[in-house]
Amino acid sequence: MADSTTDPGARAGRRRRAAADADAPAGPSAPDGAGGGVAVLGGGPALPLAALLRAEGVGVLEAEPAPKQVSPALAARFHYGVSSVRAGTLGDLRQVRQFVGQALSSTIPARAFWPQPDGTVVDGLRAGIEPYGLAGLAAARAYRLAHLEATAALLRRAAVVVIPLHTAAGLAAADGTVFPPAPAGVTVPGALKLRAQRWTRADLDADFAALHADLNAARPGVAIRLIVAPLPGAAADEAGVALLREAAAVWARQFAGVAHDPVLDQLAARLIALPAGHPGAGRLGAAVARLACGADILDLLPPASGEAAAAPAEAPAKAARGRKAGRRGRRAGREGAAAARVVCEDELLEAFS
Amino acid sequence: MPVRLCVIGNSHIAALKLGWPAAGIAGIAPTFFGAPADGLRHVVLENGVLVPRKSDIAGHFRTISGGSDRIVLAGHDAFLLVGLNVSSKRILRFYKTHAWVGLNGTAGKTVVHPGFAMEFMTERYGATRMAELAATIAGATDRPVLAVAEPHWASWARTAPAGTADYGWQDAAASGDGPAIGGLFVQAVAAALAPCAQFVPQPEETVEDGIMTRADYNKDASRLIGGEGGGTDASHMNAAYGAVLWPRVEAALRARLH
Repeated sequence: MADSTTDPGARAGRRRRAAADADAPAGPSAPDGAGGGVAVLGGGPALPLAALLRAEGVGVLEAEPAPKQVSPALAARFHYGVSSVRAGTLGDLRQVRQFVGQALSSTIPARAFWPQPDGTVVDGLRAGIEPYGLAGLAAARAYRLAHLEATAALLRRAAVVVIPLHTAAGLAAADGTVFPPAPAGVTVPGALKLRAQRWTRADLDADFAALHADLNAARPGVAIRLIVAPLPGAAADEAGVALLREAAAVWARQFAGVAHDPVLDQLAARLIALPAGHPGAGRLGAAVARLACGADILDLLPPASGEAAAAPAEAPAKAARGRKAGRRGRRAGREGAAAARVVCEDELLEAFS
Repeated sequence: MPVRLCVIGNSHIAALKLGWPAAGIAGIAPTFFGAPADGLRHVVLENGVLVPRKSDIAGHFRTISGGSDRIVLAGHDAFLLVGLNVSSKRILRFYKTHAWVGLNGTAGKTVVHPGFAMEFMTERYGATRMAELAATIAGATDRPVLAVAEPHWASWARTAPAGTADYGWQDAAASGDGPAIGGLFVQAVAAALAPCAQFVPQPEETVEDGIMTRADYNKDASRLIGGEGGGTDASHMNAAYGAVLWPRVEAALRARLH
């Protein structure tokens, strides 16, 4: 397992972002889950959360890191660096729950491996992460077990687990195993009889309770941050996202260590909806990354007119104490001013609209 | 008229030069151009001529070739690139942290798809001085370009005393992964060079455990090549190695020319 804070690519990313995005929201860097690092379970091209966090200097853990010298193109071809785990986009709570459960128990569902017409075998639980299959069933099984073992080690280490969710539906086999949609060119065994299923609120509640228990068993006291945002375009599951957001707000109150921020949801959704190459993507990505790691929303906003200008550079410890005191003061002010917070959130969203 | 073969390499051309007389090959006239370590990085192409930018490299060229301090590409019928950073040490470094499915020595390592290992190593060998020089020559002439890698290190390096460079031979050999690693090395180097050069692998009879060279082919190499007392250099091979390698080069060359 590696910590990408030492990755030259991550450092270069930070330099690039700093150079290209000098007008990013002011504020301290997001915390990196002191004492354990941050794990991101899922994400993909629409919401490259792990990359956004790395660009902000957050130490994103990777269960199965690529060699440091790999080219970005080859890493992308084999889905390295997209998430902390090489498990595909995930995004469905049932799928995340099952994946974490399988990792912690080293179990492999029946029919996980799909024979292909060319004689290779594809791991159906993460069929999209590699351009071709393996030579046989034994190799596929050994590879999956190594993947589960590396994931379990990651979950035991991560102090913060960030889980992006985008749907409340999945493709389930008769035994209840949920599979991601098969990518083009991969043959799904007919006997699998995958059925599209939509999860009820009760399903989601049960899945989250099980996931919370599993993650806390792996790392007691782990902080879990949920981000709910729809995939772009036709893939969007708006109804599922609405249901998940409603449920996530409740889970954040009910379960220890769980956080869900509706503003973060909105910013993530806005980022997902931005056209490629949009000049605001850097700023928005930085804001998403900072909030995803628990930064205070006010730290992302520029000072209002009349507010004291930023203090000159101080010694790090003194500066940290000052920031902490400032945050305490702002927090105290917010407690009696819920309406003001709404205004701040509205301003933030407006700034990125 | 013999085939005028231009042999360009680093210190590993010594084995080929020493082994040439014993190989007894007729119809090929080799001319050797060498520079130690990574000295070939100071050679540039100017109007069809490979010209050293540093006087010491030009001096090496003169000494080894018998008088020429530059390489006129049109003056040769074929090219043989030797060593030039293409070594199994590179794949062994990868094996210290990663292993592909199917290998035995996966404990404590990141396990990768065999296809990824192949593509990654192809990428890495494509970034060597040899690949760069092969592309330079292939872009300037239509003559065949062949390539041989640096030999695997001598088998005694596996159990060398503390302080000797350890690239992980013992781990690879003890786990039984040597042949698979050696096999991927050959495939990846061949693929990396394929656009510009044909790779001629190390003769099987010289290989031990897939990733080492039999000790006999290293005997006295350090004395003959570096003038050292012997027993300290596991990376260079002797005349016997060169003599075994030449017929492979000849066969590949004949196939390309006819």
